[in-house]
Amino acid sequence: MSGEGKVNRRTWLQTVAAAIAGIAVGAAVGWYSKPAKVLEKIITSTVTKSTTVTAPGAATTVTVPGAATTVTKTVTTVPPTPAMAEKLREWWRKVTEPWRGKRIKILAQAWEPNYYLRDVVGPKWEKLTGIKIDWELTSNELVMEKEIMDMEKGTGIYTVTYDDQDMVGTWIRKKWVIDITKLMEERPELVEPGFDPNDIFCLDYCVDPRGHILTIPAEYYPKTYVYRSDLFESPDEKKAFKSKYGYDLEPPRYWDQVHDIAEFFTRPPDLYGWINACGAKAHEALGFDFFETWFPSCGVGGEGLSPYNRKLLPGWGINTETWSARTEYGGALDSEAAVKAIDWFLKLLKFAPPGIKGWIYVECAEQVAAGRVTQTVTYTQFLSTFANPKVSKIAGKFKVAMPPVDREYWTPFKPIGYADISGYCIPWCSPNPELGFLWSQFVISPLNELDRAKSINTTVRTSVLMSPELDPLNAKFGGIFTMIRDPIAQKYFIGTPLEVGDYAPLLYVFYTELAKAVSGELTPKECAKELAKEIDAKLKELGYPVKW
Amino acid sequence: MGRQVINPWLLFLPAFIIVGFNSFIPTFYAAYLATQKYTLGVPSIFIGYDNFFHLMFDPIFWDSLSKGFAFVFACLVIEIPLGLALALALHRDTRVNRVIRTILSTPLLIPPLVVGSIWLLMVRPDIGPIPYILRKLFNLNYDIGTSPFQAFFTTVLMDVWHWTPFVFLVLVAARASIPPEPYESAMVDGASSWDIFRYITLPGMKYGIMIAFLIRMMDALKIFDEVWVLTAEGPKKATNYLSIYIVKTALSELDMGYCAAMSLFFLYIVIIITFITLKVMARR
Repeated sequence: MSGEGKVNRRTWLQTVAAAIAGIAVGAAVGWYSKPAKVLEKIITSTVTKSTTVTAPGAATTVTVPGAATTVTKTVTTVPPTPAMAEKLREWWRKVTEPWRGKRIKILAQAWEPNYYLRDVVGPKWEKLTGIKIDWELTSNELVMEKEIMDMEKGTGIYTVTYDDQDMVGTWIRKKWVIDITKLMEERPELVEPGFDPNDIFCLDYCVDPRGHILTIPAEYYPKTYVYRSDLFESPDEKKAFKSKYGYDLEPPRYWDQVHDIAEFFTRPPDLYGWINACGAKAHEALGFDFFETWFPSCGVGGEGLSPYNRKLLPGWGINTETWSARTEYGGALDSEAAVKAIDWFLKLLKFAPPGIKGWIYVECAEQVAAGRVTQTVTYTQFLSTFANPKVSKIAGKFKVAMPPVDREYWTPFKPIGYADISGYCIPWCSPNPELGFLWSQFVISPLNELDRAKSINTTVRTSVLMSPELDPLNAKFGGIFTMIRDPIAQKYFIGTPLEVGDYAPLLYVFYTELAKAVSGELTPKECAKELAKEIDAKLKELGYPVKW
Repeated sequence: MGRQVINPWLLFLPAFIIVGFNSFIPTFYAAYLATQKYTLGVPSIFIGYDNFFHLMFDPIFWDSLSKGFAFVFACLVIEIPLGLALALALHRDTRVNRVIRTILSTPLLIPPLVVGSIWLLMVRPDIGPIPYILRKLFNLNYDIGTSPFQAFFTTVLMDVWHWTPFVFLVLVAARASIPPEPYESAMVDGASSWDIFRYITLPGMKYGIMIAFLIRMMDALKIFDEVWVLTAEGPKKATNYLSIYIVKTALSELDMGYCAAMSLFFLYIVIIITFITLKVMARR
């Protein structure tokens, strides 16, 4: 029996080994060949049908690139196989050959996503193309000022600049950046085989009214509700919360529930119930926190989820027919909803850690990462920090959910919040628009996009967003990919309305007036009234066709 | 002969070119901008003296200017006596004094933005040592984001920490320039320490004090970087000093014409004050 047993065991082991080897070989072959088949199409097939970019609500549909061109059609699949990646690299080497040895200058905001581009994507580009990059990373305010001065005077310092989508309205109004759609039509040989506008899910906020691309997005970070799942899921906390408030402890839908949760979890000095994204310092951040989160979630302005043709700008409360923010002229910044938004902001500040009035977004995110806060509505840029156990005490202990809204004033089909969509635009005076365009594509090339998504939890491409390769990271980042894979959820996070053609001066009015409510100089009602009045004055000063 | 006349001017020329490029051209350009309605991105329009007229009736401008003066006054009242006391205590050239002088001068080596960041951490209500100590010892809540006075006071304290060493170094040099003979004579005559200070030390250091006073006054009026990092305009605009207001108008409102007008007016005020101070101090 034992002899038979030995033979049987050997046979069994051989069979198992063969099976494992077979599976491994099969998987490898399958992995290698199946995508390659799809990706091969990317390289070889020429355009046989047009690619369309449509601005929802806009009257026109634009075709890119032109049907007469011989540009290859993209069916993006990531990650590329080694063979495919090599073909793409070869394409990059060839297309950038005329500029080998040249330099490009990039102006961008100094923060994590751009540090990643500078440290990881930039060196890859330099190695591949032989084109050096001069980075100028600085604060957001200085980026805006420098690029505006450059474009206004036509000095041509920057090859390409990296902007928040907030500036697209300005580019539309001023016509200071290169029409990328037109450039693609004129120079189809510069369109990367892996570049597919249809694959960029947040492109709607980066185009002009004709649907022409002004900025190639490189980041998509919605501002979501983030909560401490370890506390929310603790049986003791759940029980205590229910007995006190009479309903279950779960991610809130309404601001009054946020208030209850904040009150319940405020246990100083170690734990506080709430912190907002941008703090309460008299700083620009206070302004954008309001028109990104507080005003839209309380239903200030906003009709429908389309980025264009809105009479009342969501979050900004400006009526685009009368160009007024006052309710008597169709605006909404002094409406009851706006007063309620300011009121919620101030009420919840009481549950924030001391020091909040001296902080902006970075310090607020630090508080969340330090485990001192139970809930927040914040930029998902910070999720990679929260998930990093080296710098965060809440790694593995947080989740994301849709932001809360006001029970009374917010109604369905109004935007809830904001998506930070940043990207590259090419100044009209760029010394080398072609290289600017190539770099903008390279950032979101299939060669880089999946790695970027894994490292800094952002992507602008549907194909990457839907990639199963992101699934293992989903839990790590609190479920963010599950949330934004839902196309309806995506719609509720909007960019800055494209009708806002003078972002910086209007932002100044927002934050200086709101700071008065924070310091107690004005009541919420007085603040809303003064804010609307001052915005109107600024719109008139800036030359908007006011009708009041 | 001709060469002798031309040479001094040729030697002067490089300095003239550098100063011309760095000072005169920007000043003249600012003067030009001040006469324009010029928001970045919008074509400029000549408006004459309208920006200056607007400035006269801009309450934020005057509020910022008065806060700036309050800041300068508070800083000088602390820095000059403190720097003088330290200079008198440490002017002797001993090994210990040399070490202490080096340590005391360290803040001068730190860039203003870093000074702002250091103080931002020092006064953070959650992790800052200053609020912690004040809370423990006096049960005092120290929060520069909430209290206008604390915000103002912190900027003064930061400036004192950063710039008293400068006053100290200038005054050490001034003290060292007084010869020992008057002191020896005074001691032989049995003069008291106060008399020696009043009639020998103070007059001997007069020009040093004047220089320290003037430089610190002009610098404090222009303060920007540290305050920008620490409080920006502060609660209820408590630290919205004129330079902060000007930069905010430039960066946020993009109103370059008005900024230029404010800057020129500011320059004018500094020149007048400096002139008056020089006259008053030189007379005494």
